[in-house]
Amino acid sequence: MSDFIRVQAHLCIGCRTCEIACAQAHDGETQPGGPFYPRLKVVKREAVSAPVMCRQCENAPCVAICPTGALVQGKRSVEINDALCIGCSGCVMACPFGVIEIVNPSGQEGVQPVKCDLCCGHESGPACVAVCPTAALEKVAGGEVAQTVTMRRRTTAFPGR
Amino acid sequence: MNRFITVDARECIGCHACEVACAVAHNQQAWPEKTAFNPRIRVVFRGQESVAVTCRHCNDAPCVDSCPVAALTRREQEIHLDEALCIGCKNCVLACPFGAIEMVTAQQRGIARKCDLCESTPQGSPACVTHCPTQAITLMDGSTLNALRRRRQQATATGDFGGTQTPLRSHTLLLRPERKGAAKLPADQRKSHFNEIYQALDVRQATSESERCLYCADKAWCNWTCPLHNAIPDFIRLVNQGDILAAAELCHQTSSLPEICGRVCPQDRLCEGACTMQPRGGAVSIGNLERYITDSALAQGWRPDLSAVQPRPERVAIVGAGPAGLGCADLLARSGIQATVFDRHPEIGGLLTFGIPPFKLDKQLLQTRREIFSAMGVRFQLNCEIGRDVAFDALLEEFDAVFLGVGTYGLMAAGLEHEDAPGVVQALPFLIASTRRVMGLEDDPQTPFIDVTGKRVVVLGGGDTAMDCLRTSVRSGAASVTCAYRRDEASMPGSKKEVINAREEGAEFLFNVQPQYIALDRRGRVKGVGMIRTRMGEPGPDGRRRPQPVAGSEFVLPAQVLIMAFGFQPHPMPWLARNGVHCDDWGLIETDGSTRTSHPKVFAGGDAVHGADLVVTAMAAGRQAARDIVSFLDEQAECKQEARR
Repeated sequence: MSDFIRVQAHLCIGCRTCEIACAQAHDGETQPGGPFYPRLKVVKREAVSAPVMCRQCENAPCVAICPTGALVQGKRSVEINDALCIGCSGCVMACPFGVIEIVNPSGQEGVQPVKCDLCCGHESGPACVAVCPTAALEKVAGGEVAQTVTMRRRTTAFPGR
Repeated sequence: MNRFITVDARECIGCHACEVACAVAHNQQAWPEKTAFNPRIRVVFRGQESVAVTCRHCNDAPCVDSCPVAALTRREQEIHLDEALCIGCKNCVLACPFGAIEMVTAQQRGIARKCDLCESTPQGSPACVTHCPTQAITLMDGSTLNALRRRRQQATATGDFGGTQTPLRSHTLLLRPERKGAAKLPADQRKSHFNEIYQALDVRQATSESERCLYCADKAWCNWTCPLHNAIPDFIRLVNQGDILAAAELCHQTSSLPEICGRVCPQDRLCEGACTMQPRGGAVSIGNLERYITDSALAQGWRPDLSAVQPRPERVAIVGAGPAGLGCADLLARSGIQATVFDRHPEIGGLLTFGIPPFKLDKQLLQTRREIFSAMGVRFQLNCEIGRDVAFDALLEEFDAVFLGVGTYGLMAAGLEHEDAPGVVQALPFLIASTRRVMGLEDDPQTPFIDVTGKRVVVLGGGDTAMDCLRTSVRSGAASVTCAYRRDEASMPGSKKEVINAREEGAEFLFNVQPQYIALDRRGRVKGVGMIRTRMGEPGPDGRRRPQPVAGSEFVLPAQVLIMAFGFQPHPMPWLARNGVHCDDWGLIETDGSTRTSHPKVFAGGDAVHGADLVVTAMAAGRQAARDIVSFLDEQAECKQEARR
């Protein structure tokens, strides 16, 4: 099962530090007014603020619709292969969470899909998780989901003990 | 008000009948693949207590709110999951507080799955409810829930909560005597001969053992766990009714050698380990009963009835007369196909005959089976090795299909110096030579007889084969017999009952020791094995803890005969590659997930495909191959007809 990032919205204070950390982790030092492509977006509404990003679905519609294999169902995440992207925007349309974007980074040729890759190239793990001042973000390993299910089932079977 | 499944914890006996019923109901009433067992209801255990847990069909379900694609919807009276719409985002799994939604892989897609109250099955009503033997599971709806409340309100008003409650169905059902099982000869008696140590059940014993079966369901946890899915509850019921011939008929529908499985299967790990009675006075003695049924039926003259079988023109060659080959031959004969079995040994059975010692399996049984199979029309070409006496090409030319059930006869080396010194012997040749003597066959120069009389024997390894070597050495008059195993006793991979038997017969056990070198005397013969003590370290990739050597704990264990029992690996068969049958890097024959190999006419199964394993898994693979061969031959016949038109 894929890993993913879990958000506890009630902890989010809307500081957008995660966005900056994400953009830096992927594209290096950002310049004011320069390209800024964080892979997650802090959404602010009256009652709630929360970062939203790719859920690394197991049966991902973005993968299903991608005609070139630029998005593939990997073992631990939905993986991106920039070089294959033709910018058809199919994935952007398909994603029910609105967390994929097609960008054309200035100074570079071609287009690329931008979505959370769990900072797969970084040993220290997702930058957003590391930087969040209130620990509202948490990386969940795929295997932990099955454990959570088992634990909840146990509590359902034998409540309160 | 939604309908939902509710479970009475006091009545749940943890029999898993609900899980099996659910998995089967959602698989067109057929057994699912071992890897695709995803029931929508799960039994949770804590000690002896158990409760089944499944979806509550909440009236304001958080899973529905969390689903971004409307795969989960509120329908009339239920929460509906449309698997076709699921994108596998796991939101619902995280939202459900009961752990009632699981991620599964179906048609190569990762999707969520949960209880659908069996609306997608032809039966339409929940299978778990129908199959629960204690009626612990019920389907509730608005009116039953209200009725329950009204009953309780009335009890509250009158103060009558039914002080003298009726006894629980589960308690009544579980009231059974303790397991007795088959009698075993006393150790000092059985040490002196090679006869079977377990005695047959008599009618009285068989009846009382059969009375212990709860008949959890027709498809119960025991027959789910059995690799052949033997109809265990039903054949035990027939024993109880005294209908041995019907029971034998039923046994033979799923198994080719039931009396042999009844003797050599590790039941404690399979059917009996899965028995609901196992923690309650002992599992039903399924193995003993299976043996009793076929032994008695054969003694009464019962034989498989193939009179209704329509003969077919096709002929199939089977390489190897072990459990895989015999399983395949059995089903082919029952489909009217002429099977010819080739084996290099002088008797059928493969490792059943030559690898399993006679005190576990009387060799007369295989002879009887050979006669039965021959009467069914199976031909045997014994003392005939493919690649030596007959070329594999000739089989491909002469037969319509070929099945390879060649087993794994390669031996695992320990990587120690002097492994070829006199006195060091591999387990399999040692056992084969001993069995040949017991059977009155002449010695085979490929497996020379090793005399252990009056000698100190050390066996390296801790599996069932190691136990066979220990017990064979005891019976052959060894002065002392010691098993040296590198892990602790709890980590031994084989059957617990074999360890107990070996210990009773006087074998000594040394745990947590690892061989380092073989010590030789001046004439170059083995005089001992250099050991180092180990302690259990971190778990390895297979989940088993790795033994770590303890520095400074070296010692020499004296031995005049050293038997290496580290398991089996594939033996080289160059004639396979030459004919386009591919093997993987370990030498195991590659198949496409079924039993088809890279050669269209060649099928394979058993140890040669999945690596050394049990008799019963080999037989299951052989039988599957027969089904695959029949559909292959059907396709061929259809093609020919097409061509003629």
